[in-house]
Amino acid sequence: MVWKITESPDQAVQFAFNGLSVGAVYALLALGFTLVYSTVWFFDLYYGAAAAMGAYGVFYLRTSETVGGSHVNNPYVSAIFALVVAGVIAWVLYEAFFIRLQSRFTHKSLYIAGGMLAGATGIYTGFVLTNPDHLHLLLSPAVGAVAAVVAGWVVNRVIRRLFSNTGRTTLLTTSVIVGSLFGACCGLLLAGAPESRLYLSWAMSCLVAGAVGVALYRSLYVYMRKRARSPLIMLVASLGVLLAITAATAIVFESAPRPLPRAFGSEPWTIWGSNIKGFNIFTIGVAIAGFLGLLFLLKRTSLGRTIRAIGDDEEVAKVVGINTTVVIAIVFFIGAVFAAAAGLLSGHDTAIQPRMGLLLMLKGWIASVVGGMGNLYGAVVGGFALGMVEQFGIWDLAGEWKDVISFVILILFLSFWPRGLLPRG
Amino acid sequence: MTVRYIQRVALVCLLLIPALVVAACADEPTPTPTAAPTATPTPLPPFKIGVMESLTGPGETYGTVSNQAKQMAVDEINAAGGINGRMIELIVEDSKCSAQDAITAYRKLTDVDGVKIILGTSCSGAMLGAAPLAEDDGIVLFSGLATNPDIAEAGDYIFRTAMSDAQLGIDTGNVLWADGIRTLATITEATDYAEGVRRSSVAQFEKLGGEVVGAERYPSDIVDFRSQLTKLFNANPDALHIAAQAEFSGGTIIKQARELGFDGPIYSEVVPIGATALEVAGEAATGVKAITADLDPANQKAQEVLRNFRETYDYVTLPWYLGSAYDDVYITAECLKQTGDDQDADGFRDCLYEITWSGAIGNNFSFDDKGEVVGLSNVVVEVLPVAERTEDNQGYKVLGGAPTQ
Repeated sequence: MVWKITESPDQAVQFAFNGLSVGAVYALLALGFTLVYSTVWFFDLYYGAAAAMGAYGVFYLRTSETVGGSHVNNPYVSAIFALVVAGVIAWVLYEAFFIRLQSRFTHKSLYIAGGMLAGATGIYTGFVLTNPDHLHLLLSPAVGAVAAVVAGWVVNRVIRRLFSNTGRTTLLTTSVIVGSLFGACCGLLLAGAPESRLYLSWAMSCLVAGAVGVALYRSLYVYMRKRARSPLIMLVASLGVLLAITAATAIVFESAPRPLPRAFGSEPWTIWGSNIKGFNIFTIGVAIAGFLGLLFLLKRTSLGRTIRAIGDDEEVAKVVGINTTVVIAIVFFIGAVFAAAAGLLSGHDTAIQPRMGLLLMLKGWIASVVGGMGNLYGAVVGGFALGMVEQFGIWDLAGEWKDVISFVILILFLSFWPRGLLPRG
Repeated sequence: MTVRYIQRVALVCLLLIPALVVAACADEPTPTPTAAPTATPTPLPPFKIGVMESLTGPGETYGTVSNQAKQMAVDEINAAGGINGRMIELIVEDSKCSAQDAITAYRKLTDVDGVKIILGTSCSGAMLGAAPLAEDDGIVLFSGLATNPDIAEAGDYIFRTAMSDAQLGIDTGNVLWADGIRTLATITEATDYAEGVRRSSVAQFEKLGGEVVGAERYPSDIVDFRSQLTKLFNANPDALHIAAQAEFSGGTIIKQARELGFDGPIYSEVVPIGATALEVAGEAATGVKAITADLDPANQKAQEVLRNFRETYDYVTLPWYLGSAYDDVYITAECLKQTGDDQDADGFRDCLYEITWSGAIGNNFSFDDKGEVVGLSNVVVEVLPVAERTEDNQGYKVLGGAPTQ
C-alpha cells in the first residue's frame, strides 16, 4: 500500500479526500447511533429512515420538481407531520411539567393550556411545511424567539459572572431587553433573506425527523421496553419501521434517485493536485462539530450526566429522581437529528433516493462497530476509518467491491475485535 | 289443509300459464320486434394492444415518453376513424427496468387481458426477460427502445425499430478513433443495455488500434462515483466513455468527473445527455459528445410529431425514441389493417417481415430476418453550454452522421 501511494500520490490524496467526505457522513450517523445505543442499549434502526427523512425533507421543502405530475409539496404529508409534532409536544409537556405543576393548578386548566400549546405548534408546523416559498418569513418569528432566549440567557450568565452583586430585577430586565432586541434583529434579518430558505429547510427536516424519532419512542418503544425486555424485539420492530418508512418514501416521492438543490461550495478546489468541494469540507466540519458538541453535552452538562447515569443503570437513575422517560426522549431526538443531518449532507453531496436510509444506516452501524460500540471517540474514528478503507480498498479492485469490503470488515470486527478499535471504558 | 293445498296448486298453475304462453310465442317466427336493433350496426370491439414500458424506477424517463408517444399515435388514429372503423385500445403495464417486472407485466397482459401483440419494452433487460416467453407463446413483442445486441437472436416474434447497440458500438468506436482518441477509460452501469454499448464500442475501438486503460462498472443504485472516477483518471486516458442506463447516474458521472478535475473529452450514448441528466450535470456537460439515434431535422414527419408531442404533453425529451415509439404504433396499425385481427400474431409477424415503412425515424426502413430494423443510422451530437440549451434543441446540436471508419 505504501509503495502504491508513493507511486501515484495524486490518486492517494484524492482517495483520502473522498474517504474523508464520506467518512464524515458515516461518523455523524455513528455518533447518533452510539448516543442512543449507550443510553438504552438497543440499536434503533429508525436512524436509517431518519437519514432519508432529513434528505427528503429538504427535497420536499426546496424542490420545484414535480413527482408523478403533481407538486411534491402536498397538504396531506404536511398534515401528518404537523400532527406528529403536535403529539410529541403535547406528550413532552405532559411528561416534563404535569407532575410538577399539578399541585398549583387544576388538572383541567393544565390540560387545556398544554393542548393549546401543542395544537398551536402543530398548526404552525403545518403552516410552515405547506408554504415552503415563504420559509424565511414564516420561520423568522421562531428563529427570533430562539435567538432572544439564547441571548437573554447568555447576558444573564455574563452579568452574574461579572457583577455578582446585581439585584434580581435589574438582572432580569437587562437580559430580557438585550435578548428581545437581539431576537428581533435576527428575525428581521432572516425575514429579508430569501436565500436562507435552503438552510432553514435543513433545520426543519432535522427537527421533524427528530420529532418522528420521539413519536416512535413514545408509541412503540416505551411499551416494548416495559413488556418484553429483550432488545431483539425492539431491533426487529425498528427494522419494520425503517422498511415501512422507506417504502412510504418510495410511494410518495417515487424510487428514482433525484438531486437536491445546489448548496454552497459546489465548485471544486484543487489542493495538492487533487480536487475537493467546499461542501465536503463543510461536511467534515459538521461531523467534527457534532462530535465536540456531543462530547460537551455528555461530559459537561447536567443533562449529559443524567444521560450517562441512565446508560449505566436505568433503574437506579429512576430511583434517584431522574425523569428517565423525558431524558431518553431527548436522546432519541438528538440521535435522529444527527442522522437527518447526515442524510441531507450526503444528499446534497450526491443525490437522494428512498433506499439511501437503509444503505447509510448499515454504514453507520459498521462504523460504530469498527470504532467500538457505545464510545463517542470510537464512532468518529470508525466513521472516518470506514470511509478511508472503502476508498483505498478498491485501489486494485473494481469499484463494485466497495460494499463487499465494508461488510467483510464488519464480519471481521464482529468475530475478532467485537469491542472495536476504541472499546468503551 | 286440503283447501290450502288446492290453493297452492292453483297458484302454481296460474304462474305457469304466462310462462307457457311466452314460450309458445317465442317459438313462432316473429321477426318484427328484433328488426329495429339490427338496423344500427353494433360497434366492433377495439383492437387490444399491450404496452410494456418502464413507467417508474430507473428507466422512467424514456418509458414515460415512449408511452405518451404511443398514446398520442393511438389517439390520432382513433380520431381519424380507427382501422377500418375499429378503434385501438392500449393496455399499459409497468415493466420497470427489470426482467422480473417485465415477466410479471407480460403475464398480466397475456393471461388476464388476452393480448397477442405487445409494444415494448423500454429496457433491454426487461426485453430479454420477456422475449423467451413471448417466443414460446407465439406472441409478438415489438420494441421501439430496447437496443441490446442479444435481442437480435431472441426469436421469430421479437421485433424492434430501435437500432442495435452493435450498430451504435461500431459507430462509437469509429467516432472515437476519428477524433484522435487512442487511450480510453470506460464507466458502465451494470445493466444489459449499458454493458452491451460498452462491449460493442470497445470492440470496434480496439479493432481500430485503440487501447482501453481503465474500465469500471457500477450497480444501478449508487450515486457516488468519485472513487471509481479517481481510479480511471489516474490512468491518464485521452477520453472517458460513459454508458448509463439511468439519466440520473449518467448526469451525475459527468458532474463528478468534472469536479474531480478531468478536462478531457467525454463520450456517451444517449442516456447521459437526456433532459434530466443535463439538468443534473449543468455546465459540466458542455461539450460532451454522444453517439445516438436522433431525428433528422429535414424529416417533415419527425418535426410534425415533435410539434404535436410538445402541444399535447408540454415537453419533449429523447426525440428519437419518442418517434420510434410513435412509428411503432403506426406500423402496428398498418399490419392490423392487413390482418384485421388482433389475435392473429402469426399474420402480424409475417406482415412485419414484409413491411417497408417511412415515418418519423427515417424513410424506407424495414426488418431483416432477425426482426432487426435496417435502413436507419446514428448521428454524433454535442452538448451546448447551459445558456444555449433550449427545449427546442434538447440541449445539444447534431454534428453529423457517424463516420464509417
